[in-house]
Amino acid sequence: MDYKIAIAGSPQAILGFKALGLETFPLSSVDSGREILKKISAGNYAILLISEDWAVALEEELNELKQQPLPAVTVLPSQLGSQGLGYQELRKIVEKAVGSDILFKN
Amino acid sequence: MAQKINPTRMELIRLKAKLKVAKRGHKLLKEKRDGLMKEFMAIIRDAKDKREKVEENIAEGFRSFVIAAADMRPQSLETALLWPSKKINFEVKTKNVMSVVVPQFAYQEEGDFVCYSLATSSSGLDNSLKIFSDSLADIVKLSQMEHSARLLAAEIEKTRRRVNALEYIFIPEMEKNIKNISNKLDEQERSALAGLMRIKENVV
Repeated sequence: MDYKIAIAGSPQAILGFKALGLETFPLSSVDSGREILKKISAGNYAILLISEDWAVALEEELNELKQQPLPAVTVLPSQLGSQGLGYQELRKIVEKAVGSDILFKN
Repeated sequence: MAQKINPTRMELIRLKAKLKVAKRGHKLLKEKRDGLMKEFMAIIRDAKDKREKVEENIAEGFRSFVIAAADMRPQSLETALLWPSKKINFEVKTKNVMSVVVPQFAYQEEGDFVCYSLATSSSGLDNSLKIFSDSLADIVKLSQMEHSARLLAAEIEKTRRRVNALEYIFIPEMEKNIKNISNKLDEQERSALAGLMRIKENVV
């Protein structure tokens, strides 16, 4: 079975990934974002890359997606620069597994 | 959880067998938890390093892409990237880590990302696409590791809860019950013996 990589985010930023053979999903509003996430969840996607600014807006829907075996949801910094959401995500995972944050405590 | 238990020998045997199973389960689950933890720690440290690398590269890539895009007219940018010549053949395998199925991603790239005329596009575009293209491998790897870590974390949490429930509630409760029953049975035996002795005294 062939899997695909999806990238969602602001249209002007993710367009570049189209040239690399990724499937781009430009997001323009939270409502349409929900629709798109549903489509991605049902489709044959192995990885969903989403830029930080939209990951914040669609947090609830993404949390649902994260429970599933696929796609693997990964947050990328947006064109505005990194806000540290990716690290926060890692920290959350560590806290869940270990009980306390042992990775970033220093 | 004080439930009524019949102080019979039958019940005692049953409880003892159950306790043995529980202790074995507890030991196995503990080992599973430790094994998962080991795997998890190995992944999460790598994931952190990868994340640092990707954050740096991608932020840079996006920045240069946005600047390059500003150089070109939106229409010409869109037409330039309308029909990508690069294809990605993506494969997903799964790996079983202590009964947690984690994904393993592998992919092959086909073709080059330059699918547009160099004359009509800005040179910044090539640059930023190069950055994206170079970091794609890292992104896929990061995605795999983060997702594996996420799945492992959920399983570790579940296993830890089970281990604790067995260790602090189930096993002590059962040991208490076994002790109660054997106490009662001993008491019965003693009273039967005393009764017999009394009867013997009367008869002789």
